[in-house]
Amino acid sequence: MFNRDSEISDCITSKIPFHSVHISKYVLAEFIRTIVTDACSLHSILEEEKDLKSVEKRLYAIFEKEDEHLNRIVNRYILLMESIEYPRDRPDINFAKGIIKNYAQCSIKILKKQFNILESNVNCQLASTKPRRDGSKFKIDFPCESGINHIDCTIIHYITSNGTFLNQIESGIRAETEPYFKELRELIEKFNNRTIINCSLQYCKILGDLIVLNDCPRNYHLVSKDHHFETLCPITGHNLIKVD
Amino acid sequence: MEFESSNQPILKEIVLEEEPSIYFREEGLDNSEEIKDRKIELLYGQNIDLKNVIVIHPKYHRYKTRFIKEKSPFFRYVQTVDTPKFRFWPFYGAQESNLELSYNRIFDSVQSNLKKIDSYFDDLRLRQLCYTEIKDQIDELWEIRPLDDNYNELIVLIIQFMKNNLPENLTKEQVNLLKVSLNKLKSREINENDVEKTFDDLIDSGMIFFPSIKGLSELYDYVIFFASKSFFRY
Repeated sequence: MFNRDSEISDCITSKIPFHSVHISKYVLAEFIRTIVTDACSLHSILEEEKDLKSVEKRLYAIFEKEDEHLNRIVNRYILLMESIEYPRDRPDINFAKGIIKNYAQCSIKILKKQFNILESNVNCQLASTKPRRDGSKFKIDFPCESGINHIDCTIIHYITSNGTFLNQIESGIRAETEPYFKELRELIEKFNNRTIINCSLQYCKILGDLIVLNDCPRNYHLVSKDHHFETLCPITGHNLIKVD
Repeated sequence: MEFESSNQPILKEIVLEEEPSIYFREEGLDNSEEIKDRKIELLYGQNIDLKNVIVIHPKYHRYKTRFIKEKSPFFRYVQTVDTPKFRFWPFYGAQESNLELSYNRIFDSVQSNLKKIDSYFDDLRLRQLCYTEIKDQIDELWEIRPLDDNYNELIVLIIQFMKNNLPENLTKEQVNLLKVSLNKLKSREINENDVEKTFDDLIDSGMIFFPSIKGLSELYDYVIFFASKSFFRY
């Protein structure tokens, strides 16, 4: 949706009308957890500030705190702001609100229209969530964090019933030194030792690649920009098309 | 009444104000030319009769905008003065008629450009020129948009679609759909269904809605941007 500068993207786009591009329900949930949530938060900031200069000041003030996590968030907001061509285009906060609101609302609709949504091994309720109006702002209710549908989260069931798959990955990445793989390995070991029994959004973030890999049917090509799949796909025998 | 040079000092003082204030003028009972200038500072929630009120916010004084309606308890009418033919009195009536004139002028131009695109569809150069002109005209519409959420949503949608699609890539069907969408703006009585239908029709026709954003996926922790994880069957 936001990357159209490669032959692969052109190829995917050309297949959309034939309904031959798929994402899993879990990917939809990830999209809501990332882009849509960011768009809602940025929209709230726009609602709170009187003009775009104030928004800019507020965002840059966060940079001064030198917090890496916050900096990444602000960088994402800045990319979203740049995508509406601020400050080159119109310095109009109402226009910016309209555009950012569309990122929150229309993007889910576009995903559902253009991609076939396949069932996921993890039945994440976030995939069925939409931004909720809260006065002039928009909010996302995270079912697993709010506790509303906590019981419906099947991540633990997924982990316990996919032990063979996880162990296959764990042994396949044993030689990998990248921090991500190290963390993944440690997490799988904890699952095996039964030291983790509750679901957590943090596990979802680490296990995300594996869940998506597991959701992708073997006779499909998995398209990704993520270099982790270059390591993971050969382990499971998936066909990867790496987007640069 | 046309803006007179004698009024300039007052207006200059207005636009240099740091905070928005309301300035208004009273007309004599006999509709005479005798006008008093008054200024009031607005308090939060203060209820005032906005008829015959002109409000100038400093943030607008640099732009060419003549008239903007703001959804705000503080000001509804914002008008700037950097145009020699600036009309400000009697602004209520003048605003309405000016608006109507502006709307008609813009829509006439939009229609004329759409007609040219339609008639000479294979002339890519002309299509590009007309498309660019329509985009500018829609920008003008944004500046005089009415105070209506659905209207604003629709105009943002159309601007977004037009911006993210190159005229040379458009099909005749897409041009027709744009025409239908732009005609809805003319009616100025737009409901939620109109907005939704416009979006659905344009997306279903294959038009692109979001711009390309490079580097976004790299800014998420571990889990990568959805598009990088889509999979498809050959």
